[in-house]
Amino acid sequence: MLSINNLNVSVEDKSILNGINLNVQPGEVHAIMGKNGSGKSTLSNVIAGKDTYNINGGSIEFCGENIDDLSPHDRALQGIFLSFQYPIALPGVNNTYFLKSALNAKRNFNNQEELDAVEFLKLIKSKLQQVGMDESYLKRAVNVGFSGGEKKRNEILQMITLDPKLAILDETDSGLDIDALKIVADGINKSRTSKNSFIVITHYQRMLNYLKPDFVHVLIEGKIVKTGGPDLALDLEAKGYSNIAA
Amino acid sequence: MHYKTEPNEFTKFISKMDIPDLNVPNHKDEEWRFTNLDFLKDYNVNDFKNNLLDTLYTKFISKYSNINELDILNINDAIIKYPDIINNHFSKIYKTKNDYFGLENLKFINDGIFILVKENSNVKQHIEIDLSDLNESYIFPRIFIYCSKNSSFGFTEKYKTKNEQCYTNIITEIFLSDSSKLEYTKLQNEPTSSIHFSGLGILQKRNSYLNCNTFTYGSKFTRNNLFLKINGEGSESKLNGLSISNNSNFVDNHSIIQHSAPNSISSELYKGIYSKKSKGVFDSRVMVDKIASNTSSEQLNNNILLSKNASVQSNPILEINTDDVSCKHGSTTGQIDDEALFYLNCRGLNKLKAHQVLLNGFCNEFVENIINQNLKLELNELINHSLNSI
Repeated sequence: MLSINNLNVSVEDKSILNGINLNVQPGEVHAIMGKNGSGKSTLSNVIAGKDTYNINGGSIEFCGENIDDLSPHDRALQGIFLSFQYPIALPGVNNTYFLKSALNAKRNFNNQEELDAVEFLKLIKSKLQQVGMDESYLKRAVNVGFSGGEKKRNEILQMITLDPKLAILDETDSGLDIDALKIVADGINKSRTSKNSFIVITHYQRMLNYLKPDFVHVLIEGKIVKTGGPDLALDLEAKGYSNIAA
Repeated sequence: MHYKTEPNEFTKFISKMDIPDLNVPNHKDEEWRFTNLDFLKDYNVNDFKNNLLDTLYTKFISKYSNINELDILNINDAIIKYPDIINNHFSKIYKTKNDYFGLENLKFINDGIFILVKENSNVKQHIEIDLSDLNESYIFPRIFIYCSKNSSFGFTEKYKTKNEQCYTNIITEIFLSDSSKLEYTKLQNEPTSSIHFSGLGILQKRNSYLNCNTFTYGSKFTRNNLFLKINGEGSESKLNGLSISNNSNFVDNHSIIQHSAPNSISSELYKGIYSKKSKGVFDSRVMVDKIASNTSSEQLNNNILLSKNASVQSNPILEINTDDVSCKHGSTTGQIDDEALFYLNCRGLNKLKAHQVLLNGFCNEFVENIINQNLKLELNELINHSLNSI
């Protein structure tokens, strides 16, 4: 699914990622844990194709193809989804219009017919239920006046609507109370299949109680210093990052 | 029909007014300091001879003659039927004393439309006057709307001429009596070489409500003057504007909002999208008189520049002469937000589509203020068309 080889990334003169290697197979859930400033968000932004970084070395392959030259929208159409740590508010753009435009862009790309308003509404109503949102969300402007929890749920709603091959969840758990966390985790779990994959980026182990990752990676100073199973997250919680690094 | 060659009540009325000849204003004039009117030398307004507007007025009056809640007539006839209203308010709500274009309008009109909304009436049908199909090089329309006590009314002026060389100079005056309610919209979609000057004067009495919307697209020169006087306690006014500008077009939104009574609310939101070499001006003054305690006022101007050659002069001004008020003003001008673009790109929308979605969203805040549903749809179409051509 995703293969990152010796990725080196900097912003201006500051080196952020220093030789990242990561292989994600279909059906797998990978958790990436690290402190603030360890490079977690940079990694997710670079996979999504954000062009404000300098790629100094290495490569990213997605489904066997090198995607280094693909724009963010092409990567999204290929099946990469980034759930933003800080979802962007889009004043005046209502959720229906936004989601329908995104879904139909993808359907066009896959040579499927675009959904009309009625078909879209039918689909979206079932997705709303999965994340515990009511229909009034659809009329609201994207993330405008949304609480932190609502924004994160909205990201998951977009994810399950667009049904990506690879979803990168950048600190989707931050800012969520325990009930919202369960709803979000449940939304993710229900969309898991043997064909799609997840990269879950988080500070804390609590999200992983619900998501059951196959692999946990520890990112420190732009490098994956340790990889293990779910127990590694528990270890981190108990001992802290500095002990793990040592 | 009344022609300028046949003196009518209205021309007699006008002839009693002292209309001085003014020179074309220049940047030394406070009200015109951002606006260059040199192009006027290419227009010989005195060439204006006839006026097909009379036919249009007649059609308009007959089209809506069946609405019992309204009395629509020529201003010429209103002088006889409603002398008090005309004598007390005509050319006094929109004051023309030192106003070049206001005086020019007075000089060339020989009639206009008078609409009286009857007391305690709620006019269900939205009324619109369409000044699109006049094959005239110069048009000088004049509209007077009198909303009687406790009435509710919706009115739209449309300017959609196809005439490339059209020069329009329109003055509209509106009187809102106690507890009356008005949704007023001016919708302009004119060819690039046209010239458009508009003067709108509004006087609000006690507990009245105004929702005023101005959409501007097309003309190479547009000046929208708006003078609002809130002269009654408990009144509320919403003033919304959207300008979409391309080529070398120039749009100047100029307003004065005067709070002359206590406990009134005004909110002004003007938005602009400027591409290529277009230029915009937002020059707006909110004045709070000594008597107008407990005024609440918001004044906001948001602009998006789509090209490095486009520019906006934004100048929101507050003049507060009393205590105990809540007044805010602000202005933003910038490019499309890169973070928002990346967010949309990450959802599979290409650069062009993402731009469209964001610009549409920017415009939606204007459209959402419109109450009339048909007008909303028409504006959405017009905005899409405008955005596709910039």
